[in-house]
Amino acid sequence: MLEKLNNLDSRWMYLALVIVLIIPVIKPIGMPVSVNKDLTQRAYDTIGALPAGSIVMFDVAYSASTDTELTPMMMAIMEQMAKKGLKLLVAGQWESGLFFVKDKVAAKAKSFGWKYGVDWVNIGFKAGGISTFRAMATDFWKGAMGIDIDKTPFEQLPIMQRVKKLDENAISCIVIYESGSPGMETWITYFPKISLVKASVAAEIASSVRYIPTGQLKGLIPGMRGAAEYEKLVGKPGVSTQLMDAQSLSCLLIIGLIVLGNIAFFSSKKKAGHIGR
Amino acid sequence: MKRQVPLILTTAMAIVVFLSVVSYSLTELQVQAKIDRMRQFMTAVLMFMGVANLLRVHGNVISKKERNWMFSGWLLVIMFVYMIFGMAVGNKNLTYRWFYDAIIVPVNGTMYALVAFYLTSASYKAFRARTAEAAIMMVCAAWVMVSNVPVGDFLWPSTSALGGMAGIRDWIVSVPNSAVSRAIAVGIFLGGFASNLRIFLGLERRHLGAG
Amino acid sequence: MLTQELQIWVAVVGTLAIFSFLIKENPFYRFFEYTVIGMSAAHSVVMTWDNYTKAFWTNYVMKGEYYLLIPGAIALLYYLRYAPGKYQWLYRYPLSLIMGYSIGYALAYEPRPFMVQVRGTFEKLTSFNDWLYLFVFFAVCSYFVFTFWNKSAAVNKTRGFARYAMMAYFGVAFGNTVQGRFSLLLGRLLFLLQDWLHLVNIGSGVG
Repeated sequence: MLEKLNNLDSRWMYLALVIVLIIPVIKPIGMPVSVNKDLTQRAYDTIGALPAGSIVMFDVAYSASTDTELTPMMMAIMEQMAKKGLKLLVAGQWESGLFFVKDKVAAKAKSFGWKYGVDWVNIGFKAGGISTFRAMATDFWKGAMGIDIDKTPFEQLPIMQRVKKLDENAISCIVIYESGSPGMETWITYFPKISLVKASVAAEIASSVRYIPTGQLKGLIPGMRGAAEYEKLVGKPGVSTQLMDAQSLSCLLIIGLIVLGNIAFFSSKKKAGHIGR
Repeated sequence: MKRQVPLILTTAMAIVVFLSVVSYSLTELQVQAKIDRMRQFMTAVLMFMGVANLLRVHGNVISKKERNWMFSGWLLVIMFVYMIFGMAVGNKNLTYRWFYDAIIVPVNGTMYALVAFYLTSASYKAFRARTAEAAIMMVCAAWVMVSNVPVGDFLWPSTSALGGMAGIRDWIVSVPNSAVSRAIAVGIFLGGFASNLRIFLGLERRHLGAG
Repeated sequence: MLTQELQIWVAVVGTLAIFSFLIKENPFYRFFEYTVIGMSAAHSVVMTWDNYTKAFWTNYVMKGEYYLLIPGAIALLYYLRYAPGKYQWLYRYPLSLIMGYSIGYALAYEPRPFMVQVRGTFEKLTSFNDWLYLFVFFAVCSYFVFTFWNKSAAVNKTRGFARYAMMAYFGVAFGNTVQGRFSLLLGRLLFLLQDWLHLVNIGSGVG
């Protein structure tokens, strides 16, 4: 038995993982989610405190692989923005992210009755990294090539009349959806005066939390759990809330495997010790 | 000419950029904006670097008929076809978008998702509480995992003593975790800053390559 | 011809091909791996060309900003990195300008967030947690910085404590990473169950 445990084929574990993830998706349990007061609540309060008409900038710094974690956050934040009467400017440090969320953001904006160019705008991905964002700080239109994602000139978009420079007077808050680099550091280093909220993948939470006490980050939405919490705060449970049950069971599986692996290891070590004697 | 001039250029450029940020008179002259503009255009010109690098690497594989050379050939073909097609019709084209959503999105996503399986088997096979340090790591990992999911709220609610599992998790994350993360970041910053200074002073030449 | 239905089937085949790697590496997996690498590189060029380079050239360079042609010409030298040995060294010119630019900005801007972080460690030392935070911070700094003072008992004890604190950090990072990866896997499983097999109807994040 010990022999079997120690040499357990990984593919059985893969199968167990798939089963444990699929069952709660098909048959949800519906366990409630509580809100993290230090992280998600702060993010919600930061955006909620903005006066109506303020422009919030989304920085889409993720690719399709982290869509499940970050896009629900974006949808929930847009819900809050619609309730608060905030305006939206979508930009991106990564070329892949904006491309596939473009239609989702457009559909969501349409559902609110937002008018493109008046209530929201998507300026698209602008290559160049720091040089482009620094250029936008002095002259936004020139730095962003003067066109949006559909190559519409900024002159035809009324909301862009309010954004001549990338600074705290034009943009009230930046929400960065980040799954890697370049990301939050661009804003913290080069634009420290603009309020920054990070919608983060779970893997980056440990290293991002240190910015909260210093005020460099005004809020942090941690992974799929954070997305579920935000959906609860805006009162519209969505994809993330429904997938939390699967997360619960998969975490229990991992802990179970860790415990089982250690039991097998220490038992065989003990047995080897007995045999040695 | 081959090494000295680039070293001098690096230092000169760094000085100009640094002064354009900190010097009031240079800020008035908008030197920083001009430099940013020139750097932006350099990026625009260098957009083919990724493609060029892949061409070199996989071109080598094909020319030497190394392992998987046929796949390398396919990679180059699909890369140039998709690139030329995309540049000709634009990224708004429905066909271009179709292929993006059909191949790049799911395959990219699945590659990252594979790691979940390896984490599962690694948890069983590699995660051993041999020492006190390993045990601490394991306990913290398990605590964070359980408290981040609804099961944690169910087992020890946040309304009970010490804030429940979530309360203890928040303490672990905001005190030891945050302090360690900050200290590591300080170390990384000092190392990076020292490296930048070395290049700035011309003491570091490895970035120029051999020859 | 390129219908939504066909797109889903192609995506399913690609997804299952990548998952087949779990059983064993195979040509099916390798085909899609190489395809996505090539297409991703191409996509990066297309996005840069469409939203950036073309607009830059037509709206600015050709409308008066001719001085940009000089750095543009210098940047072209970078491609000589892949040229035969005789001219290869010319790529160092644009590289040195780019490095100098990055270093100038790093020296000017990067100390500030770092100083804010260090200052934040010393602010508001009112509670036990604040003092513990400060102690852990210094302990871990001593672990990395004072690697040569290994004869001092006090430093060694502090380093031992720092190791425990770092293990807590790595544990938190591991726990969060595990959950993050499970989220990605859930996304792919949701695609297979919802968009392909129609066994569930949860939604895609759009309200």
